[in-house]
Amino acid sequence: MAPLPSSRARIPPSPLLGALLLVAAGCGGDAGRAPHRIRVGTEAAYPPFEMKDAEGGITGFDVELVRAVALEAGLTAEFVDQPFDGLIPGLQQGKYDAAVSAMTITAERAQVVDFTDGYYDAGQVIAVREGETGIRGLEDLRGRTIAVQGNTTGHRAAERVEGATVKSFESIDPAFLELQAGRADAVINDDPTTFLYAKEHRGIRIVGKPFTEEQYGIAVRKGNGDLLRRLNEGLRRVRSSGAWDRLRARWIEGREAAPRKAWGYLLPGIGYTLLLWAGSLAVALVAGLFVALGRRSPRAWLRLPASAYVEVVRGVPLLVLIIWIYFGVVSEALRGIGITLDWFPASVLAFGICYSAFIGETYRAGIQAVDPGQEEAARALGLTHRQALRWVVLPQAVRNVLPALGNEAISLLKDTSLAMVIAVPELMHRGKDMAGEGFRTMEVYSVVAALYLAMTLGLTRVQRFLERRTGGGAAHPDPRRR
Amino acid sequence: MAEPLIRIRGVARRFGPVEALRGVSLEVAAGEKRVLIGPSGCGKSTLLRCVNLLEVPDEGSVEVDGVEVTARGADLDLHRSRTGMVFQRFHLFPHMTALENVALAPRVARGLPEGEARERARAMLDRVGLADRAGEWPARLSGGQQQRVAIARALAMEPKVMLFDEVTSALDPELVHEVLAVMRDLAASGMTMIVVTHEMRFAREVGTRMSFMDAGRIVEEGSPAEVLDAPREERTRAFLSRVL
Repeated sequence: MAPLPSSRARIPPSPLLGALLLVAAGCGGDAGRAPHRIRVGTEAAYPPFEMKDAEGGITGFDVELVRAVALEAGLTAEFVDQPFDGLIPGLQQGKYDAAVSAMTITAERAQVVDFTDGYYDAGQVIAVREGETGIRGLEDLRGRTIAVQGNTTGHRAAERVEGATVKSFESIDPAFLELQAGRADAVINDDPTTFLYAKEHRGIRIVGKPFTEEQYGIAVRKGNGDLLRRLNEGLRRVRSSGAWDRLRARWIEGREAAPRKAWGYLLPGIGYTLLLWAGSLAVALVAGLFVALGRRSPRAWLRLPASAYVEVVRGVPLLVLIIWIYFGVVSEALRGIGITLDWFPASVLAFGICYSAFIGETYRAGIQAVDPGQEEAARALGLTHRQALRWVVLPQAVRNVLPALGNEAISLLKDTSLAMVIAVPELMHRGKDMAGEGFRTMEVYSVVAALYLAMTLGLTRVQRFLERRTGGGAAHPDPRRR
Repeated sequence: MAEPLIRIRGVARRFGPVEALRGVSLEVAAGEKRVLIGPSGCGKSTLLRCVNLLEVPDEGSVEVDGVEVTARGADLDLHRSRTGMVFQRFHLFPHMTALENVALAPRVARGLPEGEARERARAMLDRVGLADRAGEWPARLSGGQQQRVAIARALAMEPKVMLFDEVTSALDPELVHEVLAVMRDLAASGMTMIVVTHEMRFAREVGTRMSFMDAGRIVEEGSPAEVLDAPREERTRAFLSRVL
C-alpha cells in the first residue's frame, strides 16, 4: 500500500524543529544564474508526489514533472532527499537549487523563497473513521482531537479549529494510525494523499469536499530569477504539450502504487549506520581524551574552557547539535569559504562533539580511579608527567572505563538514527521509508530494532574481548596488601 | 669529612595549617645508611619525599652530588631517575608483568632499546631473587615479592641513593624478612640509603647513622647504638619506650 500523501501544503516550519531549522538557516544566498544541471530537494516519503522506488531511487508525480520541466528548460535535474522541515533551509543554504515536495504556495513561504507558478491544485480534506457520524465538516471538530503531519497546511487548519486538541506527527502515516487507533477523531490533510490512503485502507473515509484551495509550487532561492523564469517556461510547455495530463493520469488518477520495497532495502542502511558510528566514535574517543585532560589540568585557561564545553554540550539536545552544524553556524562559516558541508562530516562532527563530552567525563572518572601512588611511583622513577600518563595512568584508566565506554558506544550506535533529520540514508531512515508504505509500521520497525540489536550484541562481544585482553592477569587494579 | 652526597638545608614544608617540616637540615655521605625514626606524623616520610622532590619544599634547599635540585630550572626528572624510591604500598604497575615494571623506566625515561632494558630488568630481578617470576603479574605475587620487584624497579635506574619509606609496614610479618634480606645485600654493596623504618633490629644492624624526628624537626642524631641505647633527649626516650 502506499504511503500516505498529505498535501504538503506545508507551512513554514513553526513548531520546534521547524522553527529551529529556520533560525539555524539564517538567510540564504544567491546562486546566481541557473546551472546546466540542477539539484532539487524533496522529501521522498509522500506518495504519490514523491517517494522511493524499490531500488531506493526517487520518483513520484512531482519528481517526474520536474524532470520533464527541466528537460523543456534545457536542464537536467537530480534529486536530493531531505525531510520536509529542512527543505527550505537547505534550499537557502545552497544544498540544492530548487525544492519540490507537494509544497503549497503560501504567503509565509513566499517571504523566504520564490515559487514558480502553481503546478497542482490541491485542498485540505477531513478524514474520519468509518462509522463516525458526528463529523460532517470543520465546525464539528471543535473540542475534538485532530491528528496531522507537523507544519503542513493541514496542521495550520487544525490549529484554527476552536477548542481542538492537535496531535502533530513527523510524517502523515502515524497520524492515520492514530485515527484508526481511536486516539484521534479526525485527520486533516491534503486531498490527493488522503484520498489515496482512504482508498487503500479500510475503516477510513473522507468527509465532504476539500475546504481549502491550494496550489503546489516549485521553490527556488530568492533572487534566482533566471532559474525561476526557465522553470516557469518549462512548466508552461509541459502543460501545453499534454505531458502534465499524462503524468497526472499515471501518478494520481492511476494511482501508481508506491512499489513495496523488499527487506533488502534496509541493508545499505546498516552500512551507513556503522560508518556514522565508527567515524563519530573515533572523533569522540580522541576529543574526549583532550576534554578529560583539560578538565584535570592545573592550568585554569585549559580547565575552565574544558568544563564549560562539557556543561554546554551535555545540556544541548543532540538533535539541535546536528541541526546547528548542518544548517547553522558551522555550515554557514564553511560556505563562506566555498565549502559545502556534507552530511557525513556534519553528522560525525555533531555526534563526535556530543559524545566527546560524555566520554571525556567517563575518562576523567577512570583517571581519577587510578591510585595517585601509581603516578608518584612513575615520577619517582624519573618519568615525566606525560610519560607517566602515557605508560602508567592511561592504560589503567582505559581498563577502568571499558565497561562504561561500551555503554557509550552502544548508545551512540542507536543515536546515529538522529541523522535521519538531515536525510542520511541510515538504517532508521530506511526503516521510515519502508514504514511509510502504509501499515507496515510495526513490522518494519520491529525488523529495524532486531538489526540494531544484532549490531549491539556484536559490539558487546568486541567489548568483552577487549576487557579480557587489557585485563591481563591483574585481577585487582590496585594490589595493595595481601 | 668528604663532601656529603646529600645536603638538606633548612627545609620546611606545610600542608595547609600543618607544618610537616619546620626547618630540617641533614647531610648524608656517600655510602652511608641513614635511618630515620620517629612517631607517626613526625615528618620523616615528608623529609624522604623532599629528597626526590615528590614534595617540593616551601623553604630550604636540597643538594645532591653538589647540584642544587631545588633550584629553579633544575631537571627534576633527571634527578628523580637517579634517586630510587621504594614505597610502603609497593605501587607496582598492575597492568605490567614484573619484568615490564622493571624495564619501563630504563626504556622510557632513559631511552634504552627495548632488548637492553629487558636484559637489565632481568638482571635486577635476579638480584632480588625473583628471576623466575619475571613474567608474573603483580597481583599474583606475594606482598614480599611485590616489594622486591619494586626494589628491582628502582635499582634498574642505577640510582645514587635509595630511599625506603616504611617498606615493610604493609607486609605480613612472615614476609618482612625476605625484603630486609634484599636491603641488607644492597647495603653491603655500598649503596647510599635513607631508610624510614620501625624495624629497630634492622636499623641497628645495617644503619650507620640514625636521626630521630619529632614534630617536623630532627631531635637527635647519632649512631644507631647511641640513639637506641643512650638517647640524650627526653622525647627520644619516650618514643623508644613505646616501640622497643
